[in-house]
Amino acid sequence: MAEFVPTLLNGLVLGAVYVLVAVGLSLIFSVMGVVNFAHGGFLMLGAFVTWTLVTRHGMSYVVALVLSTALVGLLGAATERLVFQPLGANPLHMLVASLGLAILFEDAAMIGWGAEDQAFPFASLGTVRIGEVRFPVERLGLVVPAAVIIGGLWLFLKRTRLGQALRAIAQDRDAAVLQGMNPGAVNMLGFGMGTAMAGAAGSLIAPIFMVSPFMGEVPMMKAFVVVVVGGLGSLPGSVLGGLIVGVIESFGATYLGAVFQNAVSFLLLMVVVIVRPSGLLGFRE
Amino acid sequence: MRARAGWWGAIAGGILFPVVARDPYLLQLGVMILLNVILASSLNLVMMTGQIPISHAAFMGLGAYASALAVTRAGISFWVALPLAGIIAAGIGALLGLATLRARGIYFAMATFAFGEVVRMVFIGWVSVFGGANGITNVPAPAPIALPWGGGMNFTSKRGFYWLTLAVTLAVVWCSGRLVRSRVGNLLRSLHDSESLAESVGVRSMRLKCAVFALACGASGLAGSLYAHHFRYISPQSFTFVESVQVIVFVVVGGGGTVAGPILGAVFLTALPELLRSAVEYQRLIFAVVLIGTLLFCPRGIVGLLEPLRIWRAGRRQAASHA
Repeated sequence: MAEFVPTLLNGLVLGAVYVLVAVGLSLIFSVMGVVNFAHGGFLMLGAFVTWTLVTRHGMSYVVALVLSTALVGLLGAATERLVFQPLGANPLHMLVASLGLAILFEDAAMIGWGAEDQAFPFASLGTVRIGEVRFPVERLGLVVPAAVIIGGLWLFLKRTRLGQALRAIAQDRDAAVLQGMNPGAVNMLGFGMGTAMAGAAGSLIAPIFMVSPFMGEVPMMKAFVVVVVGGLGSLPGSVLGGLIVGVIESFGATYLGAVFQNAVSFLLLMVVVIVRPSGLLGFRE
Repeated sequence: MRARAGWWGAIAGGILFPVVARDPYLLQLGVMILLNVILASSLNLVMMTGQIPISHAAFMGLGAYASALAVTRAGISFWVALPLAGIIAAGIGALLGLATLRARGIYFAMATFAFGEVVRMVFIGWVSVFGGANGITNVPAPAPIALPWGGGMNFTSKRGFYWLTLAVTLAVVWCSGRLVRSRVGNLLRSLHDSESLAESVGVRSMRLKCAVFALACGASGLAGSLYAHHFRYISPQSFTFVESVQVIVFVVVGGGGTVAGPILGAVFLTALPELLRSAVEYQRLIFAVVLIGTLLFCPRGIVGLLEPLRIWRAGRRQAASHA
């Protein structure tokens, strides 16, 4: 039982990262109707930009995190304008284009930064005692910015006019356009915000995991599981799904072994698609 | 008539390729191209219904492992293991289809994606059966067969294996061509346009989708078996989600919904990186740029680019018949 509390904590921390990635993915899906397979690429670019700003330009971590999140968001908005908007009529082609972008980003990062894992020069912040076990502070510290970002998004969507425009486009595009909304601008905003969240997630996990061109793949695959389990397009669903997947995985890793850590969550995805195809909190069509 | 001449020309070129290209590297490239043609032509049938499975490489892996294990562990002949690999892949495909084809579009894509990941993890995790990350080594080449006019056909040579692969490829392409142009092809297209409308006029959509999906999975199982006995070595790294995506790319860049499109896509995109061997690190980058460029500037693929040529020829023929 000594393992129980740290396993649970680890699961919640893991879950917070998945939630951040998944909420961005889900936002993009609800606005544009496309599953963004390049999401892991945006995450990886966020991590690399933060890494470069900190190690090469001596910037403080917090400033680098904010700057990198903004840059990735701008890149996302530009990508939406240049690639996805011209394909707007064809969801199949948008899906395939995002697969192409995933390969493009990965390869560009390999050319720019090399294929090796880069360590992040981050001094440990120490550990906290929980019962009999010590837990590293920086892992817990990750939960706070993740919660702030998701809370901020929630307020933005519910309380601001722009947020309402996003939700309106997501709910019924034609009706929203008839009300005078500019669907192109809203798409760019939604895609930019979603990718910015991926960039933030990459910057947050950079000090804990290694930074490499391939680092985005696993979190992205987990985010797929999360959005399907929680229901595509549902923000509370993504939060719930992320925490469920994080905890299940953490317990799977502790009690079943590392290989099955991943298999467990993918099995969960398949079961949910078969039993409840619209996810736990998703709307039925 | 002209189009048919094109097909016969392509077949003749395919048969004569090993006579002209004696370099073993080129022959190996030829086998890779043919395997990709099998994968793309079969995936095209599923994509015609509007569903995109991201699991084609996983089914190729299932075929490869089934065949390699049958030959190395159970001592079964390759000539039995090859169809067996196809049947096993088709059977698993039918089960997966039954479970997930009810989910539309994105949910189906993600479920098949998850299935592919689970398969790969089983290959890696179940070391005693599948050999873990190291895979299976020393997969034997097919046993030689006696030819009716005396002598034997040897498959340890790259040439012999190339012709074997070509034969299987032609069979798969012929079947897929018959399907695309038949009434079944029209039914598949009707599911893409509107499944509920198709059902309302009596198309049993679930049965049809499952059958086509199982058939396509069976074809990729055959490709997997050939892959295993050609390279003599298989590992989970060869059957990842990136490989599954590549097959989708072949279909889209070549031109989905046609017979020639997926073939052109597979040939062009398998050969292209080899032509760019001097710029190894840019290979995948160029691959991605070609894909996105195709989507943006000629969304109907290579086949769409050839369309003006076909119209021009038809016009000339008509003019000639009037004269």
